[in-house]
Amino acid sequence: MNSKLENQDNRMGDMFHSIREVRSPLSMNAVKNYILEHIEEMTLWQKLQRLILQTGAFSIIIASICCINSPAGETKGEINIRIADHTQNTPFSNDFARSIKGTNTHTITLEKAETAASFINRNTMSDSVQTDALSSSNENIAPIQLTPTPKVDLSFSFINSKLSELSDLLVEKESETSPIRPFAEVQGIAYSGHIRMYGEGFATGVMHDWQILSLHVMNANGTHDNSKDASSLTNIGIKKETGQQIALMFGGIIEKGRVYSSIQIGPSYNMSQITSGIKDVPASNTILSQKFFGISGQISAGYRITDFLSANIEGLLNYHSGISGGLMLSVMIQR
Amino acid sequence: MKIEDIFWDLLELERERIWQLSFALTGSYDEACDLASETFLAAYKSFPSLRDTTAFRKFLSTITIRLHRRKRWRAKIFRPLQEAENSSYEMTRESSYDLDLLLSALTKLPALQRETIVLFEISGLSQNEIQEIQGGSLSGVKSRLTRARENLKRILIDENLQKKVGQTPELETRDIPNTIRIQIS
Repeated sequence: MNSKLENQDNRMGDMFHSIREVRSPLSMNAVKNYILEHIEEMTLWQKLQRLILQTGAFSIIIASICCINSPAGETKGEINIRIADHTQNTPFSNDFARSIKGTNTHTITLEKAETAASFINRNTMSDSVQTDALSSSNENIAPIQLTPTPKVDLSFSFINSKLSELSDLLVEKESETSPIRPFAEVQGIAYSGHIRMYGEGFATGVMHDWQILSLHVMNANGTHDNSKDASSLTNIGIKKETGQQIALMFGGIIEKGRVYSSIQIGPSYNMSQITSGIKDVPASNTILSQKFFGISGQISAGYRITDFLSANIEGLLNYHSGISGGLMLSVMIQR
Repeated sequence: MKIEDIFWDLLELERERIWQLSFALTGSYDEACDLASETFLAAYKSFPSLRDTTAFRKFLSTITIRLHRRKRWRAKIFRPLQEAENSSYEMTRESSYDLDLLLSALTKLPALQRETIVLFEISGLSQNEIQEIQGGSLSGVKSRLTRARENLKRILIDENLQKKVGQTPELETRDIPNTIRIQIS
C-alpha cells in the first residue's frame, strides 16, 4: 500500500502539471470583449439575451404591473421591469435586494390602459426583439419562442370584475369589513399558500379548479404596511383537470385606505411552449407540473428547489426579512 | 498609464492560470470558461480598489474561489431533484487520461481541501496567501493541504483499480517520473 501511495505521489505531480498545460480557450480578445460587453449600458432586451446566453437557460418573463385608477378616473400606470439576474446575485441576501434597486431597473410609462401582458406581447413579438434579444446564434441554445396566447380578455372591466370577485370571496371568508382588508388578505393568503403550497383560501376560494403557485410577494419599502404600501404578486396557475398552466398576475397599490389595483389573469405565455424551449426537457406540461409540485415539499425540507422559481423565492424571503423591491418582473430560469 | 491598461496587462499574465484554476475547481471545460469569465468581469469592476498590483494573482484567485463557492452553493440549492442524487463528475471530454483522472479525483475531495490544493498547485499561491483567501489559520491550511494530498492519493489508487478493470492498460506501463513535484511542507 505504501509503495502505491508513493507512486501516486509521483504521479500527482504529473497530473497537476497536465492541468497547467491545458490552454485556456478564452483569448485575451475574447476576455476583453466579454468584459466590455458587460459593462456597457444594455437595453432590457439585451440584458435578457445576455442572461439567456450566460446561463444557457431559457428565461421566462412574467411582469407585474401596477395600474393606477386615479380618483379622477384617469388610468395610467407604470411597469417596473427588473431583471433578477441569477448569475450575479446570491439569493436570500441583501445583495439581491440591493441589486434590484440598481441598474437593472427599467421603468416604462404605460400608455393609457395598457396592461403588462399587452406590453410584453407587443414587445416580445416585435421584430427587434425577435432578432435582437431572443434569437441566439448559439446553436446549443434552443430557439426561443415566446408566443402569447391571444384571445384573452385583459380589459380593465374584466380585470376589475375579477378583483371584485376576489375581494368578495375573501371578505366573505374572513368576515372583515376594512376597505383594505381584501387586498391585504390576498397577500397573506398567497404567501402562506406559497409555503404550504395550495393554501385553501386562495386556491379553492378564488379559482376552485386551479392550483395556484404563488411566485412572489413584494412590498415597496419593506415595512409591510398594508395601509399604504404597493405590492404585487405573481402566480402560476395550474389547472387540475387539464394540466394547463397560466400565469396570473396580480398587482396593486393600496394607498390611504383605497385599493387601486389591477388583476391580470390570462396566459401571458403558454407554458407548454415554454417547456419546448428548454433543452433536454420534453415539451410536456406534466414535466413542468411535476417540477412545480415538487417544490413545496422541498422548500420545507431545505430549500432545494429548481432554478425555475429561484428569483421568486428570493423575493418572497426578502419580503419576509423586510427587504424588497416593489413591483418586479420575474425572470424565471429553467436550466 | 491608465488604470484600465494596467488591468489588461496584468490580466494577460494571469489569464491562463485563472482558467486552469477554474478548470481544476469545476472539473468541467464549459464551467471553467464561465467561472473564469465571471472572475475577469468581477475583477475588472473591483480592480480600482486593489491597492497592491503585485497581489493581482491572489486578487483574481480570491474572486474565483468566491464565485465558485457561490455557484456550488447555488447548485446545491437549486439543482433539479433528479440530478441532486446523481451528481458525480462525468468524464465526457476528450483529454488525456491523467487529466481526467485528476479532475475526477479532485471532485471527490471535500470542497475546502480541493480549493487548498488547487490554489497551491495550480495557482501557485503560497500557504500564507491561501490562508488569506480561505480564512482560518495557517496551520489549518497546512493541515488541509496534507490531508488533500493523502486523500487524493487514495482516491487515485481507487480510481486506478477501477480503471484497470476497464480498458486502460497504458496505466500499468506508464513511467513514473523521477521528480516529485508536490512538496509536502
